[in-house]
Amino acid sequence: VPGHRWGANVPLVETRDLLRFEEIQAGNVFRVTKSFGDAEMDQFAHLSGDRSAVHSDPETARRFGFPDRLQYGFLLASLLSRIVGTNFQHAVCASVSLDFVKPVAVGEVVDVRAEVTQVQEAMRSVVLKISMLSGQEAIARGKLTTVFLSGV
Amino acid sequence: MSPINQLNSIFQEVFDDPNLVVNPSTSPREIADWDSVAQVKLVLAVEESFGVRFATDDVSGLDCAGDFLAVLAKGRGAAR
Repeated sequence: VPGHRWGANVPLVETRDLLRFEEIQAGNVFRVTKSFGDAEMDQFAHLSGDRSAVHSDPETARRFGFPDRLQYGFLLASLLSRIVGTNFQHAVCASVSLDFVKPVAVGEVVDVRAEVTQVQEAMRSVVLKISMLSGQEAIARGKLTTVFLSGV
Repeated sequence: MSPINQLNSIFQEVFDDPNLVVNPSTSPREIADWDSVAQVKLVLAVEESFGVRFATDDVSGLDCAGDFLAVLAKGRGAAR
């Protein structure tokens, strides 16, 4: 419903050290660096139910020319959840778009950079430009829109 | 490009429908996917495309495509 205010009248517990909507500015950059290993990949396979061979079997991945099993794109996308949840107070993801432009093998370090490109005060929403790098190479890019909840 | 055509392109992108044609009376009644998330995406996309900023009063009155055009015509917040 247009004009609906997300989370209106929901009592919220304040959390320290997280940025409130009013503190977010265009140009702010948030980062996370992470390497997902075999154990985390196996956990994700169990949680998601995605046991496709190129993600779970090193031999299959090698047959397709990759050095090892490929990291799940959606496991990498979970780092966006971390960025939102560890930086923003009472914010939820409203929209995410990601292009996975280069596969990365298990164990490779991925740097995620999220830059604030737009702040919409009336709708308490923030747009972040997303880039994921492995070394100097782009592996994914996209956009994430968050909405900060209005509490009582 | 006229404002209605520019707005139409935004609606097509937000609702992922290249055949969508909007007119000033187009409202959530005609577009089933026009929910609160779509509203956020529309406002953000219009701000970016037209280089304007919507105030709280503007946003609360956006009930159809024509309301977007009316806010743009008022030139509120014009260029950022």
